[in-house]
Amino acid sequence: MMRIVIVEDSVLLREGIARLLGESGHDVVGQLVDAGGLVAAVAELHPDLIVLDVRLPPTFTDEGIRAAVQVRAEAPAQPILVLSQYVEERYATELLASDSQGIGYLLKERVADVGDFVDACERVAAGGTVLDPEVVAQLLARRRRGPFDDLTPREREVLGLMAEGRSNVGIARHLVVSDGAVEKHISSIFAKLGLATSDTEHRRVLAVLQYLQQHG
Amino acid sequence: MKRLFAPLFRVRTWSESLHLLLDLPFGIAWFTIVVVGLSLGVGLVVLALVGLVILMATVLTGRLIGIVERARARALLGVDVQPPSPSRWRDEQGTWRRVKAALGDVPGWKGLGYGLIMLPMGILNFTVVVTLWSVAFAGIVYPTWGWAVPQNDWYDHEVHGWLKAGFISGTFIVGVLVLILTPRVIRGLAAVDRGLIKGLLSGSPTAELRQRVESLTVSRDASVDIAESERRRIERDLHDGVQAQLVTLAMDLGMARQKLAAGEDADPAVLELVERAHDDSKRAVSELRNLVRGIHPAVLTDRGLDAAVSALAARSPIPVEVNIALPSRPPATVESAAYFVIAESLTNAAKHSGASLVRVDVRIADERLRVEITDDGRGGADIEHGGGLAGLAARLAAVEGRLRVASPLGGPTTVLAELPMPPGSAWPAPLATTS
Repeated sequence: MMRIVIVEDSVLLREGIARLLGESGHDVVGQLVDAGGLVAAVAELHPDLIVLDVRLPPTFTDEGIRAAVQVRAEAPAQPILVLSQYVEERYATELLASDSQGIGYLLKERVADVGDFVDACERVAAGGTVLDPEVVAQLLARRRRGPFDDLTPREREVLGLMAEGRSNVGIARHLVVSDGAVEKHISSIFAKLGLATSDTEHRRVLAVLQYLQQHG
Repeated sequence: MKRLFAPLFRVRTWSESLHLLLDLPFGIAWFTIVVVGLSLGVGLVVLALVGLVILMATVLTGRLIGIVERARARALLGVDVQPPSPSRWRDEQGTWRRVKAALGDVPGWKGLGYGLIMLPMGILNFTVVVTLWSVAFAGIVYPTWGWAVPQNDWYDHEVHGWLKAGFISGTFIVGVLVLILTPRVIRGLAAVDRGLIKGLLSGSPTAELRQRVESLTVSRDASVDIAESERRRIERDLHDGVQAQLVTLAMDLGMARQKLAAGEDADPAVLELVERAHDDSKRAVSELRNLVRGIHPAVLTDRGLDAAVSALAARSPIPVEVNIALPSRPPATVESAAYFVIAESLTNAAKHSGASLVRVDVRIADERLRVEITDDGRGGADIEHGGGLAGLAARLAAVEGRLRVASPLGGPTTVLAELPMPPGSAWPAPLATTS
């Protein structure tokens, strides 16, 4: 069970998300309509996860992104899942600038895939990185000269799925290939990006980070 | 014979005479006002405020002179001149600009000039008209009273009766001649008056046109701004209203679907219906998102052209190289026009060109925002037949931009948009910055 704070100005959506997370066995400990009191709420409640809308009063632009950056500055390990009506890789790179652990960035409409959404919440709360497929597609599409140009399209796809926070098994299922094939792709990616063969999980994060920085 | 005297029986002759006579009192009045106003105003300029206020009032009085004189001329001379367009000093922002606009009001100054000229003109016109009519009438009626005039020395006793009769009839003839002449002279003087009014008190076509162009430019800029902010408002309303509701609906359907699927005893037909409703609602949300992005991409407002075009490039099926070098953000309308040029060009390239690479280059040169989109496709695009390109050209024209398309058969296609970017028009950079 996670203790969750929701920041969302639309009553309908805020209560909907609270209902969904509540039914999934989690505890919504705080519901805020704007990011104004978020830092204080985090200090008081120590939630396992913040679910945060990007557009909030008063300007309805990118308050959520700024609030997330601010919260992470105060509490660097605080897991935050940012929801947005639209996803732009620029916002993602701002969110991930310091540390990609415990950060999620999803299209708001992904909450409709209730199972996947709750799953994403749990992964972020556990310190994982979850990026919306749209963001990943945007990141992949950006063309800049770098080590990433040496990756094959399949390897890019695999790296993109890694950035979405998927496990090898998840990637294999998504691409409908064997786990072994995925592992081969991943070690090829590590090799091309020049990442030493040490701890696998750590290299995953490094690869994704490098990838994000390169494309940011 | 009839023709000689005809002018005497025209109303115009008499109304013109009246106008010329009135020139004197009006001339005196105007001259007094203008001279007093100007000398007081200039004299008191040292007491800056008082002098300026008096000068402004005097210049505006020039317009009043114009109004009164045009009315007088319309009634008595039958001239109907186009009044100059109204003074717009009140529309200006800030006291100093208002003062400048009021003091520089050309129709006002012309009115003052007219007022000054009216005094000498009035003296001349009044004298001539009074003299001519007096001589004419006095001469004509002389025979009735000439005999009663006391005898002068030069024809006193020596002069014979026939000579006296001759003198009387001579005077009569002079009276008649002057009577014939007078309407013609009056017509001449009135023509001078008309000329003055047309010259000094009517709006000049060039100035009128210039002013019209100015006001059209202002109103067009306002429309462009309004259209831009309307698009943003619609985008925001859709996001915050409809989208939130649709997402909640889809989420509820998703929960229902999950529960039905988990339950053992669910009717498969109901489950299928709910599944379909869930998928449809998700598709609706996603379509709404694309629609909204087409109206106005929020990232453009929040993060500017570079971020917005990067997102466009990312969604393009053809690889896109983006090179945007902007020291600061262009005005919102320019930014938005540039964005839609790039969006449309990328769409066209993907649809028609068969290109394998598109380059987007945005920079500032000669106070213009230069947007260049080049693809290595087969070419053959043109503004006339491409509905999208024609729409873009119109959109650019609204912000005084230009669109040029070079697309020879066989390619490559280059779309070049140039948008005015006056110095100082740029936005401050956004608060948050990226790596």
